[in-house]
Amino acid sequence: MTEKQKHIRNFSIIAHIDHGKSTLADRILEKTGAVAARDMEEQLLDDMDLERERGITIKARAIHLNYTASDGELYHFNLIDTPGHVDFGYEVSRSLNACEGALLVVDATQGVEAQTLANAYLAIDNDLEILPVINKIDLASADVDRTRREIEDVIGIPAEDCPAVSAKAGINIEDVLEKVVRDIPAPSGDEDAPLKALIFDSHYDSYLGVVVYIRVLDGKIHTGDRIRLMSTGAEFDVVDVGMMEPFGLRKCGELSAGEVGYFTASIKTVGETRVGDTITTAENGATEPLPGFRQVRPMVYAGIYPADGARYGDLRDALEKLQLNDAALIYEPETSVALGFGFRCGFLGLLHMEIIEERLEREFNLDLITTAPSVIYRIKKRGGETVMIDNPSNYPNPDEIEEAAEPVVKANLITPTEYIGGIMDLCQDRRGIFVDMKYLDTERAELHYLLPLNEIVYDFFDALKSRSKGYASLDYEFSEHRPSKLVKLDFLLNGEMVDALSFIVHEEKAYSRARRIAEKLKANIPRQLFEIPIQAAIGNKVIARETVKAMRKDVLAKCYGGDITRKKKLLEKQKEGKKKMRRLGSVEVSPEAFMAVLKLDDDE
Amino acid sequence: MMTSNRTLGIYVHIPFCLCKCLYCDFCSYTEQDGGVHSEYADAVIREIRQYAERARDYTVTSVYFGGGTPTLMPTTELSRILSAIGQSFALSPAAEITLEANPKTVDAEQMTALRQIGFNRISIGVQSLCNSELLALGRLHTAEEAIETLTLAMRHFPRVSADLMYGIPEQTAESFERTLLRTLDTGVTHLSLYGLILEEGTPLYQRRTHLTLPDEETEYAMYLRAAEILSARGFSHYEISNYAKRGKECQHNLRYWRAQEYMGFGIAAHSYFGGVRYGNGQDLSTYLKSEIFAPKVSETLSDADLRFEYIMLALRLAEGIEELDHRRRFDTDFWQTHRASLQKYVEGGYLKRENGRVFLSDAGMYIENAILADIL
Repeated sequence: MTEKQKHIRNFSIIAHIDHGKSTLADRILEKTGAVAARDMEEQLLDDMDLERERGITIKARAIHLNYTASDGELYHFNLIDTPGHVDFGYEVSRSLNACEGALLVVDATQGVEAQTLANAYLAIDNDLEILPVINKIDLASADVDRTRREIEDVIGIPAEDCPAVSAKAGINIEDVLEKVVRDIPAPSGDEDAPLKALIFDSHYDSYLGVVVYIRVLDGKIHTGDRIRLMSTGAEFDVVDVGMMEPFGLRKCGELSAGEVGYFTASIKTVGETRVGDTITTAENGATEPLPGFRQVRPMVYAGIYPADGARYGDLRDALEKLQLNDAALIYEPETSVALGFGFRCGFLGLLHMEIIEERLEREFNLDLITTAPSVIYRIKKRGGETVMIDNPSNYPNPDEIEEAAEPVVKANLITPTEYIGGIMDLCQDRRGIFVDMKYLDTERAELHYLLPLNEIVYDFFDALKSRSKGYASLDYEFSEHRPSKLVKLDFLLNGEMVDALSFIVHEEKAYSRARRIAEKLKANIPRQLFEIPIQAAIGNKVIARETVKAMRKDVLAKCYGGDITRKKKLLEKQKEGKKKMRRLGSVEVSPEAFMAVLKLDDDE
Repeated sequence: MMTSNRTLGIYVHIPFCLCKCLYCDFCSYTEQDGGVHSEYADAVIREIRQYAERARDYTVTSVYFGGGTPTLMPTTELSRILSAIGQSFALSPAAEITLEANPKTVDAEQMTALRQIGFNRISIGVQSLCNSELLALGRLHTAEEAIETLTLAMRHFPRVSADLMYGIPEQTAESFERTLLRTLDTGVTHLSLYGLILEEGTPLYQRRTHLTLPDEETEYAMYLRAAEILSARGFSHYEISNYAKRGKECQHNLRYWRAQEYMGFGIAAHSYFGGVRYGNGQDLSTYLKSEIFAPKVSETLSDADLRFEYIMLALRLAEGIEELDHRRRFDTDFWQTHRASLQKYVEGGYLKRENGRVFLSDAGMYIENAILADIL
């Protein structure tokens, strides 16, 4: 280990959502003098508005900090922030791979939760030193002793003398920093070996091109080097090498084994620099890449359409811009008879989808119509060909299908014991296969289920929340595609199929969902001049039917003593509502009708 | 002088009632100490004198006393107001002069007096001739009393109108038809037929979940059945809610639909004059004290407003929009401009285009709002 390496600490902060990860990061920045307290905007590391608002970190960021410890030595900290949600599990694991240790933040009022565990296991899998930090001790309901016990019993790491802090109130932050110096191992790695650096994140800058965040494991990277990305073989000339300071990039010309920093190389899109990929020199480079790389693939797909068809171009531009910084977002043009021109978009998961939708609406001021999220089905056709289907519209006819398979995830649920019954009912209802259950302590249990992903994208989070009063938490990872009895459910309005409403569902669920959606449609389609039959069908077989009756009395019978203005106002209001309508063949439907169909309440 | 072709209608609001009906959201007061009527008449006369100035070049062709229940006011007070109108405005000798009345609030003697002071048309608020329905509406009279008043009115007035309602609590298709036929038997020559609207803030609205209301299909059937019966009896469906024998159309109300000028006096009265729509406030005590009257709300109509209102109002009438007139007023072709959205209504039998006019059918009138919201 070099002298330089001895003074480097590379670490992440991991936590369940809302346990205070970002606040702790802010305090660390403040204590290391990176930011003056008065200049600090809350949660500096999360630099997207949306993140700040939701209090979660979406994209990882890394910061280089200097800390003079109580031993009088100057240490270089590289704090690597990680996304805090299940959808970004792979990105979390790559960020952790860039570290030697992790601070595991646990909320003293909540205890260990599903993502605490999931993240802790990820850190253990990556051989990290885990340093538990008990947070929010300033709150009246904090139970530090119990939280310590839980960390020891449930996760199985010692928590006897772990720091108990309040990141919000700035209590005991020094403790954490000293622990980082003392307990997190310094990096090792051979400076003279061929270059091996791990990409753990990247972002697009309109002047520099892609800024690639790396951890150097072996060797060195210099300005001017010709480097190769090992998964694709693409080569680039390094323009700049440097470190991430709290308020921007600082060039330093070289990074060596153990260090964390960035490089730029006139790379055009973040898609070319895949998280988890290994960088080496083009000449005399490493022969073996670092383990663990995989291509990130979307798990959830949905059609996104502008509510106002004229804004298709704006939507395309917006998606293009978002993709610059989000390699996991994929999209391609799609046309729907019902909704016009839009895009089929792929997301890592539901949260990722929600974030993209919100950013499109907020940052680009777009009104969107989003179709029901779909997962990817693997269909073996009779001819022997296998196709992956992410859009119900492309689902083959039943007689062409030899075998249909759907993605199944390993789900890990943690819940207060009083809700176990309700959650088991929910999982059962969602075709879950029970794996096991263990009690974390007398009050909480962890359940493992194998669940079809299409049941999770169908309103599972809300159902879970309502059954556990918000106390249960869920984490999942893809397991495999399993053969399943799937059918495509279509909806017809006035005899015409509305492609945007079709979805794939398990045979057993088809009837109840068809009925509920037909009812929802009925409630949300305004009455028109004629009766509108609503039909739900599998192939040619109608399995549910509703009717929107013809419009009746819609007139202001009396004009109160010549009060024409009153009538005019009423009409203007009516006109406003009318403007938003979409024509589906001969039927007018409000954007809300689509959304209402997607937003189904917990199984009533 | 070009005065002779400018005509005006006058509305007078009499805001007194014995008791507020359960569905009513008109402006009315139930306190009845004798003084207030004469005080109110004084105020109305002051207002008439103030505004008459502006209409010096106009001939008044219709006067309408609405309410409230105008017949609750002593005939002498009504007479004072009517005289003031006659003194301040050029009142045509052929003017239609209407007053609204409720059954049981007016007797033979009073009718004789009303005729003498100049009223030549009376509109009776019958609503229903089924006692359980009248009770549900909170009306203070019985079916028998309504018939009695109608019969009396027929003897005194050359033109009598009755207000009826459909879609009221307890009503059935049969009871409605009976009400309609019995009303027609009295010989009335004009009928206003309103679908009950549960207006927010009324007692009936608050009670809406406990009411036995006819379902909307039944209500629609009542509307169509009435149009059928009335047509067979020689009434024309000349406006969404109004039916009349030939020549018996209410001239005053026609002014509203034809976007012709009118002045309203009294609290909550509305006016359309000189391109401005304005309306009075609703507070009685403020009104009584007023020396100078000023509208509470006022809106000067833009060209776009004018066209919007023209279409909105003209389509209420069976005569509909005269295409030539529309072109003359707005320099655009109504049919061509709205053709794309109008076509489906023509195909569905809601709208007709004949002899240079575009007008709604009975079915179309029933959903006028939806059609307007679509085409405007």
